[in-house]
Amino acid sequence: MFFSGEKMKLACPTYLIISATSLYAVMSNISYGQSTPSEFAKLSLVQLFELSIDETQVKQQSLSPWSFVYNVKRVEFDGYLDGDASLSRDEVWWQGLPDVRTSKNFPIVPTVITQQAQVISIGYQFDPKWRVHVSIPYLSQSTDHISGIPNYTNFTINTSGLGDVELSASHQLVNSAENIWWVTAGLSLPTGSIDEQGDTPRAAGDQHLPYTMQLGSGTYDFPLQFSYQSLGAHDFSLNMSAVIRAGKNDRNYRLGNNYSLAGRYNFTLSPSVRPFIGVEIMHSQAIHGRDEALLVEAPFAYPASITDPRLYGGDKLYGKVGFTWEFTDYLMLTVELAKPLYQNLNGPQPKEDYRSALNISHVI
Amino acid sequence: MEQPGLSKENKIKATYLLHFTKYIHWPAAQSLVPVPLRLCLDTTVVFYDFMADIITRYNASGPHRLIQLEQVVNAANCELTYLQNQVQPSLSQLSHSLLVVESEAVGQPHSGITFYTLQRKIRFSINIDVLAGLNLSVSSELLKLARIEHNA
Repeated sequence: MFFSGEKMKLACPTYLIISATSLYAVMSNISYGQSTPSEFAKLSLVQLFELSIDETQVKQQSLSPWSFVYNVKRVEFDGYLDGDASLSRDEVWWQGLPDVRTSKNFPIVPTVITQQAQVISIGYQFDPKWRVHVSIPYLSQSTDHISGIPNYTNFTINTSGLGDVELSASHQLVNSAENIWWVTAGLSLPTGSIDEQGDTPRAAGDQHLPYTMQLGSGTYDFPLQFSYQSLGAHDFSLNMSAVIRAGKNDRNYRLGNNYSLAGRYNFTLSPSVRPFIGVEIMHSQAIHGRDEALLVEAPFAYPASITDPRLYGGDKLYGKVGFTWEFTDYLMLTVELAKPLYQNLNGPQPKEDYRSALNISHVI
Repeated sequence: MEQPGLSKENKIKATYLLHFTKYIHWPAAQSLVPVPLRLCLDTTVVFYDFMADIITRYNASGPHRLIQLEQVVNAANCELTYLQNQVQPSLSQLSHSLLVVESEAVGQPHSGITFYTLQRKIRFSINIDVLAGLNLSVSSELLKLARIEHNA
């Protein structure tokens, strides 16, 4: 059978978020064997076009309920926003007296932040209506900084390692000839580190790093997603998703909840290549609580914007383009580029420049 | 329920017929009440049963124009007709029907859509002139997948 959706949701640490619902998204176009009238009736025109008449292919595909997805996502931040107003670097950077220090300028300023996640996901389909997934992310992050502090005028901090592993289950709510609805619920385990350290200007040697440089949320989180796929004359999908976080982690904070609504329209360039366009609106909350290790003893306790938990979250509207390419009966490549069209952030906050995703899905 | 007697090739063709009803626009019927689109078959029993199962599920999933499945020999009128064998072109119920044929070997005159096999996959040709003569409009999404033909 087929089911569709699109979502590639992000999860953690604070900017780059990889969730189990991502597996659902990537697997949305993975095909399984069809045999009954019901299964054939749910095929889209393009999916039907790709079917081989070989009876053996049906049996072979039907044998394996396993699927595998490898996904790489990258996001880059450059510049600053306060609300939806751009700030110059000099407006955010406090370069010492006689400049007036406020809660919106800082002696240390991250300039370019890049985050990359590689996610391996494995899915198992129990029956046409139920499937489960496990997603294991590996995160790599890099932040360039400037400051007026001797020996730290330009410096870069890197972290990498295992992120938060997610378990999730998807259930098909509606399956008609016109559309398909799925709901996915999961549990994100706090397997990513929230104790990453690096050499910052705060003191000699390594110190605890800001929220952006940590690898996990430190809390048990609950990703949810509702997905709609049209099977009519127009190939489009809608996804509503959220990441709900509970309690506080061992460092006395929790990341904000995330909510998003995304739509995608697929075109048919050829039977195997489908370009798409999409939009997504995302709302994320600020961090609750704070990590005391990031504070300095001074009238202004936050040495950089990324150490202030209030300067996280906001609203973003993305425009997306990409394509899917089913280059064999078992392998599909998806490439997506998203650009924020509008951002209204709890600032000053690093401004997202773009994000990209590439994934390869395979039915074992 | 699985239909063990029907080949996968025929299941695919049956499913295409359902999609043709979505991607081809028939002129609105002159009626105050919704009129179903009549799909007529001249096929094997097992094909008819499979098609009937698909149509039943499709009709139950509304809202959309319902499809009424009939045998060609019993039908008074057909908007869409699928033929596995050649029939008399003079049949009155086919006079304004879009004819879809199982393969070129059927040799039915005035057929608008013809299935064929290419690299183990089912493909189809659309005779644009035939569809234009029936006053039918076809979605560009369907045309992209078709081999376009014209009257000789």
